Amino acid sequence: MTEHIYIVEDEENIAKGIRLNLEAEGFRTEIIPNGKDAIARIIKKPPDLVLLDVMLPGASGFEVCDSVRQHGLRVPILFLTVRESEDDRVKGLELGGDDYMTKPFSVRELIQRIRAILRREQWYQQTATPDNLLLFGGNEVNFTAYKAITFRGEEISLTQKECMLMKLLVENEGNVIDRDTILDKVWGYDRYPSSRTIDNLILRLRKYFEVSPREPRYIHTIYGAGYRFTGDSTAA
Amino acid sequence: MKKKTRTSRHFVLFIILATLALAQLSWWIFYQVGEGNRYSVFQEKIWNQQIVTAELWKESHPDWTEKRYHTWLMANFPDLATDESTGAVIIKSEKVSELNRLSAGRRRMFISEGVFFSILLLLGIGYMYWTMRREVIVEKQQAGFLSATSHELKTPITSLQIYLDTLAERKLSKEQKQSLIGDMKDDLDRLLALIERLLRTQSVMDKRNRPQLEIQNISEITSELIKRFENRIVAKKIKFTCQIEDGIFARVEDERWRIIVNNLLENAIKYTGQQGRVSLNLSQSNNRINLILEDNGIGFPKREQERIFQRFYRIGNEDTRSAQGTGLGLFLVREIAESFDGRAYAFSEGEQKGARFTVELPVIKE
Repeated sequence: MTEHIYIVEDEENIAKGIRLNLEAEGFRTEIIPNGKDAIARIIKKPPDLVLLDVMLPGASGFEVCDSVRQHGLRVPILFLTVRESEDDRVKGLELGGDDYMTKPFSVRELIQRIRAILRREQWYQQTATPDNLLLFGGNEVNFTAYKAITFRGEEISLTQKECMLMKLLVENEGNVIDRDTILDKVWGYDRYPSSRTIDNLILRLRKYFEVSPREPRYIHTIYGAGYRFTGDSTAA
Repeated sequence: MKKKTRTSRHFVLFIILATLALAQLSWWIFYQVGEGNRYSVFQEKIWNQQIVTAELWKESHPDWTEKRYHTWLMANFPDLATDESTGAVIIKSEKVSELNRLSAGRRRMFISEGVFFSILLLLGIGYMYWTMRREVIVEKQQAGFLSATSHELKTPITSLQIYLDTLAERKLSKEQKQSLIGDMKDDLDRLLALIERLLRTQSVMDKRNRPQLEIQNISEITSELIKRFENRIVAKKIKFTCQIEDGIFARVEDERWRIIVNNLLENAIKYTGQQGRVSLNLSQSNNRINLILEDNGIGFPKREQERIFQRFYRIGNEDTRSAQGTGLGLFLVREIAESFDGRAYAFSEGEQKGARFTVELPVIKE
């Protein structure tokens, strides 16, 4: 199946150039030159990936991304913008963007990044566990719905990154996953985040799922190496 | 958002400084007035002690005579006198009223000086606040200009890079190649136009480059210039009406008059939607020449009608702005019009209600 990509870009020449290249690579494309129209279109018919400019008429790219995520849609978003400040980059990624590229860019790199995002997405869509549910320590994680019921009986929503990291750990149950693998599988690009972000994510997962986050039973830090998940069968 | 916080931070700082300064000044007035009162009390105490000393002198000099006593009193305590009816020592009444006058004068002086200094201080702090606020606004506009210019530069460069990559790496038909090359030319034109605009701005802004005013047939120059916009007017399906009176002469610099017409027409086309209306009118009445550009495009809120002529000023949110630009066009129009002893102003009924831009020039006296 050929993946469908929306090119949300108001500069006609840029949109046309990207379209030509993506179609040559076998993708189906659709150009949307207005932020408001993009929100409506993505919600109505989510594509496999969105290339999103920031400065757009109607609604900014940040507003589009935020609105799409507010609607609970996890469609991968790659920001393509002239805005190159660290603040903008962080803002884009925090709003739920999957990657952030600044203009001008090389077409080859753009296609590599698109493929990397689609690969990550494909990996995530493959079920890790039966029914895509994970049960451990009285917790139940639903990878499809991005939700979990904790051992306290609380229902919580999980972010995409939390789910991806959890899935990566579970797939490698009992083995140590190093930071580079986490960055590559969960983020897939190099400038963001810092190692601290991974630590924070791990701390959050422990807070959700561990009875005593300071003495974890399931999500362990292996100093100097990375992290390891041990399920109920292997937990100490 | 950040800049707004900075402005309000400046306001808080202004209030704190003003309050502290006023508090310090009020305390100073209060202290000085109190000091005056303390001086009066002290003086009265001295006089009372002198009266006691004078009484004691009398007692210790049983052989005193009125004359001797008076001489001694005058020599030692000139502020005292003897009451003629009772013979008691008293303070001279003129001394008491002098002390009261002095005390009241001091009070008046400190209060009026205090008020004067308060006003001066408040004006100073207010001026400081105003300058800081202005600086923040200018900084914000400059940042907006840099961001807009960088966007304007990078957009055609991005498109050029995509097209170059495409030409280098893809197998394309002859028609596809032709189409790409055509688009690349447009991008180059856009880049050149931006650079030219920046250089022109620099040249107009440079005070050494005074306009070379000569009597020019601006009807001819304007008509000729409009031809350059024909393609864009047709492409956007704009209904364009143009009325140019023949043979209008004005004292202008050819190149700079072109900038005025170009920028106004450029804006009218840019901010008017597909199939919109744009009209250009150049006419002369008894005492002035009028160039009026009118459109039924996006217009602007009434409160913005002065601000749109400020350097780097652009209406609306940078993230959702659809039109290209750097915030220099109208600024140049006004600067140049004023250098021709004319003026430029704008009017709009409001957003989405079109706009009218007028440039007035003086008529050449025979």
